[in-house]
Amino acid sequence: MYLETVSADVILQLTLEHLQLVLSACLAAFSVALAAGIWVTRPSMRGRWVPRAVTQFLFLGQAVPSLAIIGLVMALLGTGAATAIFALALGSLVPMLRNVIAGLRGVPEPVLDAARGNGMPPVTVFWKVELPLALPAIFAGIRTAVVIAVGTAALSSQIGAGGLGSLIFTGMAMFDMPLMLAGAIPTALLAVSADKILGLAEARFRGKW
Amino acid sequence: MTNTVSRETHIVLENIWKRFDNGSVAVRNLSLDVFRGETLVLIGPSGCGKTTTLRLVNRLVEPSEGRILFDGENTMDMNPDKLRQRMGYVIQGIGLFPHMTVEDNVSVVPKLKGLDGRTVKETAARCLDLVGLPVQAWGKRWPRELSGGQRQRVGVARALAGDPEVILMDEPFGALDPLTREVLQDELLALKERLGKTILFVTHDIHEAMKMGDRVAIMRGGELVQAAEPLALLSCPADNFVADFVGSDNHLAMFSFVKVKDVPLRTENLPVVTAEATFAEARSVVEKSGVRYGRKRFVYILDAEGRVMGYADLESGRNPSDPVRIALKAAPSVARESSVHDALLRMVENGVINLLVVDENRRMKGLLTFGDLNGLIESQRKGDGCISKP
Repeated sequence: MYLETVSADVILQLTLEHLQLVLSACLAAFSVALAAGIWVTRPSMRGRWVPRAVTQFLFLGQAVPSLAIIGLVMALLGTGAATAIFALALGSLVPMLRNVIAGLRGVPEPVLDAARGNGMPPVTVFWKVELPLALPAIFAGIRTAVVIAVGTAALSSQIGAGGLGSLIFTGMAMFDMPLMLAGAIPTALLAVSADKILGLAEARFRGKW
Repeated sequence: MTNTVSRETHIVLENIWKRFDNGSVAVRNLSLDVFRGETLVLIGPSGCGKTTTLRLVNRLVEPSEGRILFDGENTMDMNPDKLRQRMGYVIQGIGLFPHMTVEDNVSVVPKLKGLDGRTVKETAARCLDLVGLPVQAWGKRWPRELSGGQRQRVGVARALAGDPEVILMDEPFGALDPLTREVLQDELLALKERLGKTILFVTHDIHEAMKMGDRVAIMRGGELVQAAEPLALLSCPADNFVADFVGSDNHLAMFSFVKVKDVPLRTENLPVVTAEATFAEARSVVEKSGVRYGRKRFVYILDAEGRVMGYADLESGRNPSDPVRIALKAAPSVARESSVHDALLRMVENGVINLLVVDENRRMKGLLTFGDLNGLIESQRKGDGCISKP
């Protein structure tokens, strides 16, 4: 069996590759989501068409399947890790942005009113009131996006970006169950542990209030 | 009107118009002076522009036309954040920062003002003490752990912590049950006496308005209809709207608004003796004062510091040379801040037609007599002292 030639070292190597894809995609997506989410929720943006159009367009993107995103991006950028990261980031952007916006919009109006009315400058209102209150929602978004990205990253081996997907797809093509599991089990473990770890971090960020 | 209120203007609204982007007009040509140290209550039916008017003062809303002077300075020329730090702001219900402890909530404005850590801590502790939530017991609690009344107290403490010149209150007690509301109103009145701040207060409850306000400004459809002392609103309503709003034809209702300190009290020729006086001396004092309690004659006994110890019945056939203090009994009394309604109740309960009025140290402030109240009703009915009858 082929699996015998796949040492633990290789599996570890592919797992790290997989993680790297997910982390770089999610970091990029998060920076964009945070910036865009903050921008569209500023009071001066209320009722403007540009931010509304941007969010509507992004939310539409949620309907596009991950595999289709990878295909579309490949058509533009060709194969390789960069394409995979870009496609993964696009897919993670929507759940993250959605939660950043929901978190910031969910800050109760009277609380904002009290903050401004007590003389907090807008920047202080954001750092001391809006962001802390939105953090739980923002974290929930990161968690969802990361878990989805771990799964989607398995597809990126199809465009030559490596990762645990290469074991899964090779195993499937060769009807080699152990080889397939050598990719599938670490992928599943990765997703579950990412969910757990981020869940703990979320609880910590939320504090006692 | 209390003696802490001056006629010096603190906030001046001049011909203010506020039109919102959607075309609605919230405030129409409103001009209003707020005097230093007074509590001015804005009241009117919902949508009358009272909250907008309050928010115009700290620039949460900016006027479309007209100007607002704070301490003589146009607020539009000031930094809005610095302006707001000079004005405490209390809103209904849930304005506390849920992710900050009680102490941190109260520390917000002192920190914004750049006070050092120790001063911030001391200020927060002092302000929480003022509202009856000592920092040792309450400082580390979260807002969600507090009752509605306690949250509102924290809100008041937070507004006081910046040592503001003015406190703006937007229906601060609107979400509370009637009992808690009553308690917090009384506490605020006491605080106001101690701190002497200018307070601008919005409510839709006419009882609250008449109780809290040195003056009450009635608004309708964005316009100021009348601003006057509670008693003047009752006796001289500007039009039928005001008359209906304050209920000036209902004297019993009226008495629940009117405070004892706002009605004429008898302050001269009082039936008062010291504890050493004899019955004979007391009788001559009472004769001279002419104050009677139905059939009986009573005399109030004061201690060396001038505090009221109680009163003594002079009809008990004692030896004229005995000291009056042997007949000393607790005297029914009211505080100056109580309503006339409460005073009347106390008269009925005790079967007296004169009631002792005291301050918080039980010093005698005068006598409320039934005859004087009658005179008051009479003058209300006739509209004496009104510039023009509606």
